[in-house]
Amino acid sequence: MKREIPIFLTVLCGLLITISFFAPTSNPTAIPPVPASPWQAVNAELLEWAKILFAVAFILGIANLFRINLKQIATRHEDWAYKAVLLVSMTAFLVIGLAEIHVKDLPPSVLRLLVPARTITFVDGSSVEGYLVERTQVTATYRTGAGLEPRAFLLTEIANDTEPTFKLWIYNKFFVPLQSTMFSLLAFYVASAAFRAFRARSIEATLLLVAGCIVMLGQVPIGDELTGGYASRAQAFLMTYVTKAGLRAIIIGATLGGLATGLRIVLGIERSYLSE
Amino acid sequence: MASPLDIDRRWIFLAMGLVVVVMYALGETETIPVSEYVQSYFDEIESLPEGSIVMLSADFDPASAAEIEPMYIATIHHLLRHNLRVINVATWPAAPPFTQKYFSEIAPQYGKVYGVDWVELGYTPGDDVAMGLIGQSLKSTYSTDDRNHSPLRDIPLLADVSDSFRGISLLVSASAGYPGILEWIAQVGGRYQVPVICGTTAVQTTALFAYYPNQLKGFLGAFTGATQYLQLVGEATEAVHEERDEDQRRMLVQSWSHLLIIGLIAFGNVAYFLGRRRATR
Repeated sequence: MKREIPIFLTVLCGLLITISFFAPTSNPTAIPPVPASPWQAVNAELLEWAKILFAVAFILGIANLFRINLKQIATRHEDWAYKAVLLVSMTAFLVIGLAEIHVKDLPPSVLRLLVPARTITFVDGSSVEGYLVERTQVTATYRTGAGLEPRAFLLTEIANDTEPTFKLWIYNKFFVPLQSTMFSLLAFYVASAAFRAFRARSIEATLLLVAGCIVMLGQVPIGDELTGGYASRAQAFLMTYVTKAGLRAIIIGATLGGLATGLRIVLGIERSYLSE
Repeated sequence: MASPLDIDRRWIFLAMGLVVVVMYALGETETIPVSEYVQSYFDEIESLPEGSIVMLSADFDPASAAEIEPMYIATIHHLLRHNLRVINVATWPAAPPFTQKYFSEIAPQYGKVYGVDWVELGYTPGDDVAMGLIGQSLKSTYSTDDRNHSPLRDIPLLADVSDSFRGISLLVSASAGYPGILEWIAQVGGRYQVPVICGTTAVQTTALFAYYPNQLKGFLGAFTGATQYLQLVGEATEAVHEERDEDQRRMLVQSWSHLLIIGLIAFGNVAYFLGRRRATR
């Protein structure tokens, strides 16, 4: 049963998803309206399960990250301090993020500690601090006052509502500059790697090298200025005909391969996912 | 004698750094020719009747913002100026803050009202599975919007959208990799017969030529594509002139960086072959 049940589930889900691709989709605006096909409902349900599994994988990922890094911190691995920073930052960001999602339910003291309050300015010039719970087309409900009781305001009464979230501050001041810096270092490494590794050692390597240089020249305005317009024309020829033809061949081949593998899995022939 | 190939790589880093800094400091704005792919992207948006609904997907994060951000800003301007209604989604978790920031800045310039002219639904996990779900039923994929946490039934814009992507006239992806434009084409574009356009990073651009012009109606390839698009949008939108001029200035930096890399490749090959000949003798 250890083998049969997973194979049965795989075959069943694979067939249901495949059938739904060919089943008619609903169209309420058609005359007469086309109702939702039961196959589409099954497909939506399966996709919803897959999405939940995907979200659960995040939790598993976090748990695994803790397990591995805590072990290395405990054994005083040479980079243990970085690992401690990783875990502390991740936990802090997670707690603040979760607190911002659960503004409606948190006790006032915890909410005040974890989430910066919004400043709500009214059209009469007065202002209060509060936490947005819900906003409809007519009203906005905030937790305000000493006890942070929910209170609804008409949107017409509100002039401005600023949101100084701590999560966004961390995002803008740390995450964005750090990620941008990492990516911008590429320019330096690409230049160094091109100098060291791009060698015309064979015909294939020479073709790659020449094509790469043409595309780089054709991509920027100075290329045309230096070559009298030939660089962009040569680049367009390479991309429109050579690359397109090659890529389409690869995509069609890979898709047919994927289709064959998919069929083998759906029919229960391919069982490598069961470690067989 | 030491070979020139043994040069300390820090000299190369210094050369690249100098090119970037000097060219940016000297940078002048210069109009560049618009490619067919960029023109098609622009025309696809222009051809939509006012009031049509467009889904704009943010499939990027801060690492690729240098390339994607200019085209993302220009696209938001273009969509709102053309009085199109926008549903914004994100398949990358770090993308929504960009969306909130730019819509908050740009939408008031065109007098747009949240929930009526645009809505931000935010990130949903699941990569291409999530895209399939969005295509099948947007309203069951999201329970509330991202900005106000309002139930979707309270958002007027979404009253005109139903399952199977009906009501949405165009899908625009600002894509930096997986999941991104290739998954949108597979999960939504082909299946629900929705026109798809995108802006991408340089590394992903090459893969798009195979899909143009059928599955993909137009695309902005990297920073060059973004600059060309900003020129087109800038013809009727003064608000993007500053961004356009900045991008044109950066194109000069990119031009000389490319020249430096080509020069380094040529120099490396000459030194390699000279060294080999010397060794043979």
